[in-house]
Amino acid sequence: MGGEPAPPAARGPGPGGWLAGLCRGFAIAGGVLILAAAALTVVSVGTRYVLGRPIPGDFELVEIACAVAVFAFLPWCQLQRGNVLVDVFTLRAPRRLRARLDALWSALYGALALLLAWRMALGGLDMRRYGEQTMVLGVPLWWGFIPIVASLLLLAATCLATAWHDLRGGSR
Amino acid sequence: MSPVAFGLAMLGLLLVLLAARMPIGVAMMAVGMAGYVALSGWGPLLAYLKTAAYWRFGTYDLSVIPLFLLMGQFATRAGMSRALFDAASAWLGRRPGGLAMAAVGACAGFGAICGSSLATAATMGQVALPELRRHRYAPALATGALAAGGTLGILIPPSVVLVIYAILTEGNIVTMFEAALIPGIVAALGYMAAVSLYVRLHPGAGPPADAALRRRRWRTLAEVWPVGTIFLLVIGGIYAGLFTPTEGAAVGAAATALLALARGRLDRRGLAACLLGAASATAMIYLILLGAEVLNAFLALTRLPAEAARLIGGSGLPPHLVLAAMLLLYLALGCVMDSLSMILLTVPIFWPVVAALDFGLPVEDLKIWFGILALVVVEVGLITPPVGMNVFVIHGMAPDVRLGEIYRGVVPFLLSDALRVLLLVAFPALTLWLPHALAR
Amino acid sequence: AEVVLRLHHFLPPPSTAHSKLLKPWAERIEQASGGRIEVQIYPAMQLGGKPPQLYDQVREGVVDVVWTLTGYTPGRFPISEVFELPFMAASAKATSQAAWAFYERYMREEFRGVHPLLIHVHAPGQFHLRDRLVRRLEDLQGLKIRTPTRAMRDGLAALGATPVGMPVPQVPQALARGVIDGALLPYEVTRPLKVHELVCCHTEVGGARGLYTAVFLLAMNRQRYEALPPDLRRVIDEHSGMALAREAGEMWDRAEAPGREAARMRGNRIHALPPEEVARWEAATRPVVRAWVERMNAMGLDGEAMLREARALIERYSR
Ligand code: NA
Ligand code: NA
Repeated sequence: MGGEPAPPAARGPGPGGWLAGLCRGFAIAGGVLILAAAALTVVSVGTRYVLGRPIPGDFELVEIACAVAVFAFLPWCQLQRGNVLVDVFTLRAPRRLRARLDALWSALYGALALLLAWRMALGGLDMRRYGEQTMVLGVPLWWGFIPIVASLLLLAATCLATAWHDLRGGSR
Repeated sequence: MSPVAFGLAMLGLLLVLLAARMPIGVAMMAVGMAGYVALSGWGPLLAYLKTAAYWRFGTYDLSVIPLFLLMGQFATRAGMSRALFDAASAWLGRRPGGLAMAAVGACAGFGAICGSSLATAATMGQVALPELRRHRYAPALATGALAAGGTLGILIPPSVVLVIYAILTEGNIVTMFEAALIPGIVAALGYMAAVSLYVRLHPGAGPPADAALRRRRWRTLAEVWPVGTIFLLVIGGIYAGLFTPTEGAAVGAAATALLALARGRLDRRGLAACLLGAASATAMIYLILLGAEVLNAFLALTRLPAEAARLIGGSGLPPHLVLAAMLLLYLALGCVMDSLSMILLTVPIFWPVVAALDFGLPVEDLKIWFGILALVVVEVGLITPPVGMNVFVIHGMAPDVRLGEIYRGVVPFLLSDALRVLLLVAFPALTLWLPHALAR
Repeated sequence: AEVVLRLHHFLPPPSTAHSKLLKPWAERIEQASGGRIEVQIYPAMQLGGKPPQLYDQVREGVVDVVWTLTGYTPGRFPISEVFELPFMAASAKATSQAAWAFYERYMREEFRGVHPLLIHVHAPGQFHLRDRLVRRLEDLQGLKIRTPTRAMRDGLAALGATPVGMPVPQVPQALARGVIDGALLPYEVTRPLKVHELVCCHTEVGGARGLYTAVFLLAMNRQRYEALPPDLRRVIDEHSGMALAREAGEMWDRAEAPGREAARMRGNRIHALPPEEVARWEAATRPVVRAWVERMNAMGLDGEAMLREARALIERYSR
């Protein structure tokens, strides 16, 4: 396996279509952001030794990149059924029951994602209102919340889709 | 119901939900939120959620996780992991379980640059797990060795937990790192012994390498040099003081990416596969971290850890029994909490109690000794059921291996842990000798 | 107890803040209220979140009381930054009292979301340098220095250094690896972080005014405070404000000596800049002070008058 976890035996892969494409796009964009953070860090180490000064604000840029990227990864992970769960106690349970439990928890996760999207939208507005910014570069923090809230909404949609997929028994 | 009893009840609920297949991160978050609402009300929870996840994910210390995961993806893509494990198998593979021992050794090496157990388990799991299974290792042994090996990330310095302990007790971080070195090496050796015990009990779990591979062993060596170079660059750079672990992770990710590119393995599709692989693993770990943060905030509100610690501290038992009770409490808390939170919540209460007891050690030595013991015991929590973070991480890398099987694979390593704790308690010199020798 | 107040802060229990300020304060409140108020202290961010969230936690009632650094949310408290400007602060005792008086006059609006109990500062911070001593302004050119505040980001840049931003716990590691050449910190913090074991030298920018300080806030949730019965509110009032600011300032002034002594005992070189050199540094950082005045003017305030008053207050309480 080249990295993507193989689909778990007990639970099928998720729904396909445009939603899957969107999850993939978000995840790749987040990955590019992490790559950019890595590149920035490497260049900063380089300029620190060669020119004696690092790239200003490298620490805070890495932090922002990580925050935005990790949120963008969440929908893809849910679509891939990448979140870990304890399967020991339900091994002998009927497949239908397992599928229903999975659907229930996916729906709950979706609800939590919606709750977070709502709260973080307000959190971002707060940051904008109070003019919060990073210390060295003075980058306003609020705009990072736009992709984050979008990621959370996509996560909620993905959770509902996977729940629906499980309920329909589409696991195989 | 008192907050403490309520806390216990909610932990019971958490176990039930986990048994009912609820994803771990979601379960910790849901239970934590419910408990938070019960103790503080909706308003505080809603306010807390505005920025909690943002600051949790945007933490500089944690950025090593996606960076090292990306490095692992590129390394696998470039064929480096395969070359590395072929070489290890060709050279060490003659004895049963040799490759699993090599994997433990690799975890120890990685632990020497990385201060986090989760990152160690995730990175090594990603690199070594497919290789162990390609060499026909039993899933339980392969996953158990890597889950346990991952704890070396914190047992071998540098270590985030020790930094926090030193700050909490006003100890010396450098001395703590020195003191952790020998116990860390003992841990790695103990895990190797556990592997050897496992293959003796289950012959066939760790098959010796085939003869053809062994005949090619010089050629395998020739293929390892790029890995060796990058590893030296990252480890050497960090130890020589050229850069911090996060910077080292970034350098490693960039170097492996360039190597994969040079080998023609990083076309658009290859790059997408690497990014997606790292994305899934990163999201899995961070969701658990977020769940742990919410659950820990709730547990702090119940004052459950603090009350338990106070109970033990005020018991008036003889010193070694108090110590035993504290270590047992860490084991119990470790079933559901993560190591850093346990240290944060209990050390401020435990350390003054321990300092007042007579173990026949000067107070500075006592501080070091207790810190290492606490470190070792909280790390055991990473591989004990039901909430063993490392086990979850490894399970995320190998979803087709059942969690129960991984926990079964972990058992010999737990025995090795137990033995080591007894050794460290009985012989404080194991911990104290090196810092004393270096102080001269 | 009838009222339980949860106090959240970011430092570990052995810190000056926890052991010398917050814990005694909590005990006094409990005693003065005859046990009707219980203050539960949660150190080291035990209730979750990161230090930058503390202010919002108390504003929105996630917790009842917090102790935090206003600089954790750069840009949010522009007025209180006056005390963080280069060559503004005197002793912590004087500056803390001045800060409280200034708060009553100018900063009520800035902190209107909460009920401030105490505003104070630490003793002026100094340079702690990894491998070379700074004797003159020229020595500072190009050195990578960890900046403690937004104001000192500009201050360091004006002095010719390269300001680097990072969380405090990263500082020892960054010093050890040369990510930074030095840090601006009070001695009170260098000892618990063991910074003195990682540096060779300390440059003290002394005189009547120190190079910089940072503003701390102890605040209670506003609704929570207003909902208290009058007699309990009086207990809180009697143990906050000017007298507490004076006491906290004295505490932080006293906390410098052990840290400085630890550096001296290790054989580190400690250099105090001579007055004529300090004058050059002060001249170099004047544009930073100017910029603050202009920011105030842009907000429709009288920046010049505010600056004058802040200085006069520090002068008054220094006597
Ligand atoms: Na380590
Ligand atoms: Na556990």
